[in-house]
Amino acid sequence: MKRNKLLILLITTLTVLCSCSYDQLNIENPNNLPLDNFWSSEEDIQKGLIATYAALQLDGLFGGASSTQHPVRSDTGRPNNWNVNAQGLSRLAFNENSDIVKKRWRDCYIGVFRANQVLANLYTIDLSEQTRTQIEAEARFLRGFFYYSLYRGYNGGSVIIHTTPPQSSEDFYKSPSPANEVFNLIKSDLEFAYTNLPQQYESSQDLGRATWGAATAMLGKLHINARNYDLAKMKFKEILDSNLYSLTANIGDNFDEEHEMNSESIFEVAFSTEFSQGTSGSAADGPLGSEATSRARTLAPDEGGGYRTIMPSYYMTMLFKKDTMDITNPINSNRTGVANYSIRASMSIAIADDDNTTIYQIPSDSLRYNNNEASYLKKFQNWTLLRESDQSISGINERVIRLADVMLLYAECLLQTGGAYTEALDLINEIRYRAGVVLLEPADYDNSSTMEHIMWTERPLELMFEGHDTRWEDLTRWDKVQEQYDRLALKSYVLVSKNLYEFDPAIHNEDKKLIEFESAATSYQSAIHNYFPIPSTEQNSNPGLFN
Amino acid sequence: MVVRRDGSSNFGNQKYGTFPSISAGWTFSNEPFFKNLKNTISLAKLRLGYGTTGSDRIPPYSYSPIVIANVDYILGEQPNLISGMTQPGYVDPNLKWETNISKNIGLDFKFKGGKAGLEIDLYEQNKKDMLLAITTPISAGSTPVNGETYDRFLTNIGDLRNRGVEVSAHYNHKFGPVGLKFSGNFTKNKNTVVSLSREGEIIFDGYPNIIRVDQNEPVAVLEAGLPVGAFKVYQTDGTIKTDQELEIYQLLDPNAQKGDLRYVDTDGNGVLNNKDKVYKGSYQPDFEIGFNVDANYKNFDFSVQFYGVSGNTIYNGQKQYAYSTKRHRDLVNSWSDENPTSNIPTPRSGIEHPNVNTATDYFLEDGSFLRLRNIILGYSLQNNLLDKIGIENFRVYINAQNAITWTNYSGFDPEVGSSNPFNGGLDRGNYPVTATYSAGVSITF
Repeated sequence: MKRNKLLILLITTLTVLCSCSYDQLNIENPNNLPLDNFWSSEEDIQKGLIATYAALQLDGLFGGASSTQHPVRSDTGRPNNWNVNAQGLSRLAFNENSDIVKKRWRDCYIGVFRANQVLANLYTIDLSEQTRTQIEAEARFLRGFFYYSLYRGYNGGSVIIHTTPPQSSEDFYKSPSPANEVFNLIKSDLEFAYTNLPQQYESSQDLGRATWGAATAMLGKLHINARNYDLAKMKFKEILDSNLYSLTANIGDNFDEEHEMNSESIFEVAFSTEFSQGTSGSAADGPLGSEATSRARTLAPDEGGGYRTIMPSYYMTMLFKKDTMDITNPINSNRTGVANYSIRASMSIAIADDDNTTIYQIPSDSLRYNNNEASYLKKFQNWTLLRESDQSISGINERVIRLADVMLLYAECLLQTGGAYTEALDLINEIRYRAGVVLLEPADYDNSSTMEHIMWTERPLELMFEGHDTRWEDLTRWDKVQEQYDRLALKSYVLVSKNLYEFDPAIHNEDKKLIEFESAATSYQSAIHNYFPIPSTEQNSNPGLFN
Repeated sequence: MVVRRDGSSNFGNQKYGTFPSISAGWTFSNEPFFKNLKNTISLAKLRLGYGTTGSDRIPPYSYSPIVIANVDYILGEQPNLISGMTQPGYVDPNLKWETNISKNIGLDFKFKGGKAGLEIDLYEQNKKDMLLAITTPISAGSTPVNGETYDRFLTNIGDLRNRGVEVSAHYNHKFGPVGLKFSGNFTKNKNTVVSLSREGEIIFDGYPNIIRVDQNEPVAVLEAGLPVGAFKVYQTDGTIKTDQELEIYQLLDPNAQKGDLRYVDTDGNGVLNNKDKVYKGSYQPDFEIGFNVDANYKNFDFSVQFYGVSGNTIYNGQKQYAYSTKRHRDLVNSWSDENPTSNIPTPRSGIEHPNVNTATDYFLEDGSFLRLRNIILGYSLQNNLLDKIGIENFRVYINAQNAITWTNYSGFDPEVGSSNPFNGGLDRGNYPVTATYSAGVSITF
């Protein structure tokens, strides 16, 4: 009897087993496109490449968080009275748990992963040789670009390298590679792009893709920041000699939405409010994503409907105030106000007594300038409108590299490699002419004072709040962070009816004295503050990090 | 005895699992050799069990990588939205069944026809190839999308073991007119991570502060050899009190000031990083007890229930949050030049400041407690009059639930818990249990 029972049990079990065929357990995912079916055509590869460009828009790269936080670490920005993130960064009190430290790392690696997907699948599908090379060059430009930001930003340049998409968890529990390996990877990626990208695209539909000029400029930046001035000079010279680019007549064309991708632009990150406005201001992917940046609202003053999370530093404000307009320059023929501020000042920042311009359709001195605020940002702001969008979206492209930047970097290379300072001055004066300010007289300058002028006057005036952490790159390349903080911490200012002046103990009341960068000057240590640390999020998710 | 072979479409290349189970019981008090004892021990039973079950309770298609759309960019002189697609994250294609193997041995005794009883259970539950979604390293580049978890991947993380003993006993006695019943139980359970699939892996999770998750560091881990959901955090050693201490500490953190928490560089390499985090207890208690007394005397009935745990650790997330917003009452006595011996860190502006970082032992507390769960006093009227009007039972009672808790935990309620092992010891502002006081009348017709 017992044996019979066992037999019945066995038969039942077997019956159940037989009743279910293997095929019924193989179900296609109806909700999402499985990866198995992807990467099979040129269209797929092109989509993967677009996704790689899309990473540029993310918060930690060129979206809101990056552009609205990074400038306070350098001498160009100061935080408002209440944003503790920005205040922490301006005191150099950032750590591995700081918002921007985590976001920039994350978003650079998102870009790397997307580029690697394209590169890994490029040779498995049928493409013409020309198409393949073009896609590879764009993807490698972008990967080099993301790694450049990691290399310049983190851990002394020693960061984790992925050149293929990790297939298993073993592949992604990696420790950082030495900085020179990261450098070599960036160099080889950018050099491939340099060799293979076109100077211009035939179709106007392709405007905005990476070009030969973008790759060349990035190579120049890579070299100059490694203090390879000779190599950097060659690259920058190629751009100047190519005659592909020219300075725009109006400097403001580089900061607004109307004149994007203009003659001066070498590489831009595109934003728009026309498509996928999303649920929040920051550009994001996915069905509720957005193609816009939250920068403009974050940095606009109250009257523009914003939060002025950071604003130009007092140092920066004084620089603009002292950069006097050249009334003989025809650019200034319409500038009939009393204030002598340049058109570059009017297009970059709001100063109360700048009577040649407005901001959010009201006079500059109608803004409040409370909480010891001396000026507000206008560069990359929609300040010609009544106010910024309540949705926190802005469509102004971030100009990552433009000709004026390259001209000044080339001038620096000339000075560093024993070139004639007069040639450098010519380049500076070209930029100053367009800015409508008084030109520099060669007789007043020599090699070293021209370099000083580039460092402490021309680059901040022309490029403040631009690029991706450009000013910090500059200061650390020159190894001048401490010197500059010390100098600025000794300066004092005063606000008299909304206008900033240098403090004079003979006239001004001691308790109105304003000082900035005091704590940064005390805490700065190049070994600790030149780079962000590897963020806590990576430390907590990557057990292989310290192996 | 049962042997199952299950297949699930939730897995890719390893769809099938085999799960045998066997259980047996032996009432040895029925055996001839037990006859002489039968008067004292009315029932004696031995239970043995071995069971395996499989779990495929994961979202479908978790083994299969996908591609998402809406990863777009803008190109062209006339700006056009160009559609982009990408693989947003990772999957583990080798997902397989999680197997729960439970072994237990139990002894049941009844004495003198049920006057007293004793049950003892020894058990071991092994969770083999546990299925869990873990965070992909940030450097792997997963795309964050609202409402999706592409930054995590499901995997068979490893083997966990749950081992313990449960004892419960009861005893009934009548002291003249007073009837008494004592019952109690004792549980000792140890939940350990036996091994993880990838050597040296440490899985961090568990965010103690639900309001500012972005500024949180996770505080709990799965790590081989440690209890499940163990706290692994930076050890702190009071505050920095003197200039001399500050000078030394600034070698580790140049931004430190007097009054800041002093993190311990446990590996002594001069750098503070994740490697310095140490095991600081877990939500699992050394033991749990429950104790009940029921009594009746004439028409009165009375019962009390106690419940307690000992030796567990709680992360006081509310305290951390109040510190980070500078709203905690402790901060009145924080370190300052006027209060130079205090170990309470000085409040600093900056929610990312090390003084309020979630990943320190500063906010960990002993979670032991003893709670008076329930106490009831009742009186039943028995009266002929009642019978006549058709009332069988008329009882009035007063009752207090959770009236008293003895604990050193400073949060609202030490009884925290979660089905997620990482959150087991996190007090994330959980709604505390309520104390209820009631009085009532119950009438049975």
